[in-house]
This record gives sequence, structure tokens and C-alpha cells, in this order.
Amino acid sequence: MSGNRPVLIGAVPLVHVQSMTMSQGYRIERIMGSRWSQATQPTVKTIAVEAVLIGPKRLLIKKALEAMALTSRALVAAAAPALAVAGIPVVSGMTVSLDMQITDLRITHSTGKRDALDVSISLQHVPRSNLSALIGEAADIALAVATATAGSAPPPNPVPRTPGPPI
Amino acid sequence: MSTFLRLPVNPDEGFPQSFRLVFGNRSYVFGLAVHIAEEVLPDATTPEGLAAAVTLPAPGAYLVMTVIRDDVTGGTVLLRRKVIPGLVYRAGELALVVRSARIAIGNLHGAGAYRSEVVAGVAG
Repeated sequence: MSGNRPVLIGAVPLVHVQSMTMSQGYRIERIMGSRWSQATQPTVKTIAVEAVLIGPKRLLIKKALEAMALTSRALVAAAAPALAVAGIPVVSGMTVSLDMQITDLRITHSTGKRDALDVSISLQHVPRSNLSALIGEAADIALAVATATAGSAPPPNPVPRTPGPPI
Repeated sequence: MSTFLRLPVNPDEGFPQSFRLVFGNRSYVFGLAVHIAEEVLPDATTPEGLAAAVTLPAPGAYLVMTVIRDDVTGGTVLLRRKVIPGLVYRAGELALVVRSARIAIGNLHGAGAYRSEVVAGVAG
């Protein structure tokens, strides 16, 4: 019943997101000649988003995504001042991730969807400073708390009840 | 206006809860959700334990009632409100009133007999 909340990639709202995958973890290295393994460092967080662009503004959204992905030198000048501060923030129901950068942007136009564009975006975490990384983690937790309080009711029992006596 | 008949809320099922109600040859889905801010939750370590209760509404604590008419189109939302005791709400062809709501903290996302009570009525 709630409204369709878009996934924000920077300032670009993606309303029709089909899937979103986030991968993160810790790198485990095997010590050569030994049976010990060592956890060396966190792996780079990556987010993959699959979305569909529809509607009259789809080409504008595509251009805005391209600007953030810096697909041409002409666009660097437009995007660089904003990116110098905090990279691309990704805000969704699942995560708030600051300092992301688009590493791969794939746009498909096919006969199957004539008036729509399929977009596949891969983003990688490029932290500028420990402070901004911490802010991102704190925002993630705040999101989790807010999501928990806004829970929806469970599905009703199919057996209907009838009203009781007058009050 | 006809007399209010008591809504068959079962507080022991816990909140949020929803149930179907047949009233006047139509089917409705009622949803009841309780929101209580963490700062105003009663202490669960008192002898009352999980039966410690909050009377709604209170600052930071309220009851939300949702009424959906169960029709072929998949449901029409008739009402979604924070309810105030004593006020009569119109929800499509229904009239609803909540007389009192007292929720024990054990029934927040949990089932059990903790003497929670919701007195609410429906009229056509």
C-alpha cells in the first residue's frame, strides 16, 4: 500500500528497480606453506542495480547517469565538483552507501521493450576518508531502525470474524 | 445512527494484527498497529513484567487503524488513521469508534495473555 520509494543513485531517482545486489566481506589470505589463514582487509563493497527506465524522462535520466559515470570528458566538468566532496551516495530501502563510484554502466534498448531502457549499473565503494565511511555506516543503522518501526500488519486469517455485542 | 457493535479485536494475538470482518454482507480487512517510541516504553523489569501497559494515545504512542474493503479489485482503503478514543470515524459506509485502548508491552510484536484491551465498535 505504501508508495513506490525510488532508489537514489546520487540525485537520480530510479523508480523501476528490478534488483539490487550488494556484496561486501573480508578478504581471507592463506599463508603459504602453512595451514593458517589470515583475514587481511575488508573487501571492496560493490552494489549492482538493475533498473528499467520508462516514461518521457527516460533519456534525461540516462544522461544524468552517464554524467555520474563520467562516460565522456565533456561530462567530467559538470560532475566533478559534486563528486569531489563525497562520491555518489546510493540511498535505498536496503542501504545508505556514500562514496560510491560507477564502474560499469550498461544500457540496453531492445525490441522486447521498445519504449523502455534496461539499465545495469555497477558501483564500487571508494572511501574518501574514515569519517565519511563512518557516517555511511551510521546512516545504514538509522535506516534499519526506521524500517523496523514502520512495519506493516501481517496478512489476516482467511476465516472472517463477526462483530460482537453492542458496546 | 445505529448502535455500535464491538469489533472482534483479539489483543492476545499481539500487534500489529489484522483480521477479516463480515459486516452487512460485505467483507472488510481491519488492521491495527501500535507504535510506541522507545523513550516512553514502560519498564519491563518491574514485577508486572511484560504486562506493564500503555494507554493509547499518549505522547509518542498511538494506535493506527486501517480498514480495507475486500472487493474484487483487490481492496479499497477506506480508512488509515491514528485513532483518538471517543471520536467517530467514517470509513466508507462504516462508522467506527474506539472507546479505549490499553496495550501491554508483551503484546508488541508478541502473542500472549497480558491483559491488553481494545474496545472498539463498528456500525453501519
